[in-house]
Amino acid sequence: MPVFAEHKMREPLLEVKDLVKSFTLKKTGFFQPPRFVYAVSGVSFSLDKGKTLGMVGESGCGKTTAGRAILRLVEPTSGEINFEGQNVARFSEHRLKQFRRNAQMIFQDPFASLNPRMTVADIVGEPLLVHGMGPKGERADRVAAVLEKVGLEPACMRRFPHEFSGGQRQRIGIARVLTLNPALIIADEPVSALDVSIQAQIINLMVRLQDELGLSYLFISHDLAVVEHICERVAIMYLGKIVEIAPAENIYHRPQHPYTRSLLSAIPIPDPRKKIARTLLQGDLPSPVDPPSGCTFRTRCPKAQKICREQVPEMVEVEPGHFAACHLL
Amino acid sequence: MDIVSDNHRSSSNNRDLFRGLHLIFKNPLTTLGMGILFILMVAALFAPYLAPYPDQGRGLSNLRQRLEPPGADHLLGTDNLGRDILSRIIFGARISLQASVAVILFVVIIGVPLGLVAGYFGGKIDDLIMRFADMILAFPSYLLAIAIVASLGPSLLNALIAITVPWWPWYTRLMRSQVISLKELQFVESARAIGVSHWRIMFRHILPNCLSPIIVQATMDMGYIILAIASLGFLGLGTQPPTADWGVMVSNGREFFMTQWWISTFSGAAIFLTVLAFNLVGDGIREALDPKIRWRFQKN
Repeated sequence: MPVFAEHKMREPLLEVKDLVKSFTLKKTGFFQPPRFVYAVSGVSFSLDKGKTLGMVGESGCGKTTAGRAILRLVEPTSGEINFEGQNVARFSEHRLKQFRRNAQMIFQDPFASLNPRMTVADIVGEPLLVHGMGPKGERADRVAAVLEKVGLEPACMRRFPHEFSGGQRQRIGIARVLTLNPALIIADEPVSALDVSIQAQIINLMVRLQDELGLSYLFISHDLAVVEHICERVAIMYLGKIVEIAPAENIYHRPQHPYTRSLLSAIPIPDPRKKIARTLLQGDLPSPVDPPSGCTFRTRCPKAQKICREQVPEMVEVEPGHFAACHLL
Repeated sequence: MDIVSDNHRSSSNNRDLFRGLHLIFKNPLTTLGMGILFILMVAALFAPYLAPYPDQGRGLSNLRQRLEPPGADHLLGTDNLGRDILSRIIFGARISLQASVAVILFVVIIGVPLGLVAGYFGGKIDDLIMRFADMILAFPSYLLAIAIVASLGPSLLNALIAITVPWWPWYTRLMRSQVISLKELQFVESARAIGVSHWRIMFRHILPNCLSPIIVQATMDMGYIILAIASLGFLGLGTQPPTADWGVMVSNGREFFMTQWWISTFSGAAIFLTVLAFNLVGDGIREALDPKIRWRFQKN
């Protein structure tokens, strides 16, 4: 049925609604009420099959926590995480393990994300072992095939992670994730620990794998320049909230939120003679324990007004598919 | 497809855990310790062939040659029952080594898994295990050991139990602190993301990465356990005569110490040298396994 098929096509692979993750702080005194930090406070977005969503923000804005909460590596406090139409937040242990075959994570630091006491074959083959997939003999073949897919020689299977360079380790990390044939990959700053030249290789590898395997990426990064190369849509996060979400094209050419604009103006341009008008932000990210009233960005916003202090801005659709949360739009 | 040529390939292809262990021979003190331990192990293994009077080593008395000073017949003299001190020391090495290896095994088998579980799960399980460990550590350890032997009755096996009970909490603590720092690392989270079970994470991912401090601690403790066994022997709560035991020998020689000094002195020296040797080797292993100070060896 063509109608049904079309409906199926449009259903997003991942849909996150009002995701909240708070942590309880240690009580300062016996009679004090418990205090909470909202690392992620109400994040919503959706990701279609085969597409890439970039999630950008400075360190401490909650983008990594959001990624971990989606995979339930930390338990989300509230909100819905719909993966292929089913709410991951309510999965039992058993369902969760099945879900982990389909949704995987690539980690930031390739020097910390591989167990130093396991061989490459063990690292890449472990997912198959844990999920009881394939007999022992076939597993080695599968590992070799996956290693080849990420551009490593299958001969390196017997070696340990410390014998590889950063870029190669990240390839091993990607291979480990690919053995299970996941549909969704959350990449948490996958290239920020690498040299610039290696960054490009890994990004190209990820793009190629997406084309070949139809993967969907949630690409978490603090680097707008990297995100531009790989993402169809970009979400900008500030202090646990998405302040602007739009097709990449719009974010880079018609940014609406003042925070997005200042982030964009901070991208270095490799031409020393070119003068750019930078919008420099004053101060630091406010503490999420005690966030500012109204718009959380107002303490650093160059255009803040009275209303910003009093009311939390709603998400407004500026253009089709382009949302931003600012009173001044 | 871009097959990457790797230029960071390191030459060593050794099996991970003992990477760099060969470096311990670069330290002369460690080599000395290894030498002493080697002699000790050979003595223990081949005691019946090496001891000049194997029967006396096993406990046969020879009253005609009581309390003879060191000389050609008896290199280290004889004790109050006429037994050759050297033979007794050589046979005593067997008891000391076997007993200390047994205690270390008990202590590691009890302490390490408890620390692993406490550190990994945290929360109530952690509280329960660690408060119990604290409770045992709060007792003076020798007093606890003496109380245990006193209630179970003096024998070597009971002495081993008595030493194990106050000792394992140190391993639980050491292990727990290691696990707490390791479980935050990305490779543990990566294992969780893949769906690896808690037990597999603990034993396959975390445990192999915290073995080196345990190995160092166990080597150092071998010496102290020998000392503890000798102490209980000295008090008459460990090995029972006529089995040769260094602590019992020191205690035996005590009443003759002013005139026949050799009984206590030589058996005491055996204890001292053994403890020293284990300490030197433990230090050497620690330095060789610690990547932060390993460069010192590699430079020259």
